Amino acid sequence: MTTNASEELGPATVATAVPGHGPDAEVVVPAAEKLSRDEIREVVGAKNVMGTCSG
Amino acid sequence: MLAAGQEGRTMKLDISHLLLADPAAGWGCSAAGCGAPADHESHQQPARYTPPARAHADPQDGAGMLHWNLFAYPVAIDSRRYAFLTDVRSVLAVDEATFGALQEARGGPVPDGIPADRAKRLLELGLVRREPARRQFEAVFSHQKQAPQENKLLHLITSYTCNLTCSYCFMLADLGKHGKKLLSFEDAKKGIDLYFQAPYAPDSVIHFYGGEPLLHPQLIDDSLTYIHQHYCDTALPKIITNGTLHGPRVLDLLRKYNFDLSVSMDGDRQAHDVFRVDHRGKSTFAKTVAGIRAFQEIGYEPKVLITVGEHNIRRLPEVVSFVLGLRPHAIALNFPRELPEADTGLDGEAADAGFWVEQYERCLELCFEQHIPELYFADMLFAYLSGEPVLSPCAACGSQVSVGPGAQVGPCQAFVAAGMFSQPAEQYEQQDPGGPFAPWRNVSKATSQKCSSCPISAICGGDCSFDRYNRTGSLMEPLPFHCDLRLRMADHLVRRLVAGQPAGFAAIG
Repeated sequence: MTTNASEELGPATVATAVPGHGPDAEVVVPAAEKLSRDEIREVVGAKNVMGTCSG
Repeated sequence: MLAAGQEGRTMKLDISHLLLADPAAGWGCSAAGCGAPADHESHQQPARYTPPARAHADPQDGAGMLHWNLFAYPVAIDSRRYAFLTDVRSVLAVDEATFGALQEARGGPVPDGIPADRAKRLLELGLVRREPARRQFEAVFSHQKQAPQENKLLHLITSYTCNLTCSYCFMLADLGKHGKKLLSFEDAKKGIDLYFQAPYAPDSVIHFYGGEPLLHPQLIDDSLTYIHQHYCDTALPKIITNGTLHGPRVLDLLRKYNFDLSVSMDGDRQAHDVFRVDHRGKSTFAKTVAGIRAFQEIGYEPKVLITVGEHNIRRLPEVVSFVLGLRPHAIALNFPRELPEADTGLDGEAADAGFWVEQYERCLELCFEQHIPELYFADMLFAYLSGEPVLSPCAACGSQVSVGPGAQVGPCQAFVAAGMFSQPAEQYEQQDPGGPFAPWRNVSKATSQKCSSCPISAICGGDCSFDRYNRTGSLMEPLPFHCDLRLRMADHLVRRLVAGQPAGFAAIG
């Protein structure tokens, strides 16, 4: 599981540069990978990740 | 969400019939994602995008008319400006002009004159799309695969009675003036039969609700035995209890099944005893704490559900700190629900919504420090981490059946208790166009003006339809406070992501 930390970014970072200006946008957290339900439970720290209707 | 082994039953969700006209047409507050009225101030920012007077987007690239990404949510953190692309779940650092443009954009067209090379880069970054907002919304939600006709949650309302007298309880208010207060086993079986005779998820949740469900351990045991013998032995039993009943019979029941167990508790003694008293007006705080301990001693990790109101909002971080000290598996901060024609004594956030949101975020920080999840934020995390946007704002919109005393059936337990959107089990027909389930089939983010133009709808866990209806007379639109709360959750998630902090609550390493 990655933490999507900005310091993990490398070549994937894309910057747009406007002539005469600095970059107007750059990726600091890349698209998150899709996790399975079990992986989500592990990351979230909850056994059940279901709707919270009244808990 | 699919259970394991259900791949063969998946279908592509066609939401085209639910889609509104292009949501970029605009209404209300101009801040992206804010559903509040136009004079709402909390998202007003000074920056405004001034498009350069240049050529149209690159026609040679086939760009044609470009549109801002509907799901680009602008977030300011100190002096930094970000765009959280909730459709692809990435975060971009953006300059002030782009940030200002996104605040106004709402998926609208990119102004003419943008240089072709910049248009190309914005497309690569995902900040703009070739499709108009309506098509962007359709693409994000129509690509989720689910079984929309599948039952996932059965509420069995064991009774409208309780050993406590919490005035804010929407189940005890007797809004439906029901002749029967207790669910008989025969009526429970009627509800179980009609639930399982429709397509259902093998990991369906069987939620024993009340009133206080642990006043009825035999009914719970009989119902689960019936379900296991006749339908399904993989269903997940769930109980929300006030925690004051933890005698041998209750503990035997809890040992027999592996319940998802939650205890309602409003915080420390000072907060808890404002509302959560017994029929003699006596404190129940000590009994509740003892119940949590008793449940933990037999191997349970109960969650704690905290009803938030004027009685604890000022001290909410202190209150939550106390609860976290009990080491629950998770907590949920439940905000007040309005009841029709009933004064619950529980005042809501109307006078100071901004402060309530700030208090929520302070508590979220505490939960991260203690590695104990807050369940509404966990809902957002689920959508973010799974990449599976949820189209329905609540489970009652298509995947839930609730059965109460007298075998009254409807999609939502709170409405069944209130005598609304419900009917006798004998008349039940889920697809009946005149039945209580029919109005809910059109309740969706796609049919909500606010949600269909909101940049965080791809990761929003939704809110409470009962509260919507009681405050607005409609099921269709989320309430401004709940939108503000979830926008703040998204802000918080971005703050954690760009700081390199884990998105989830679990301790790393």
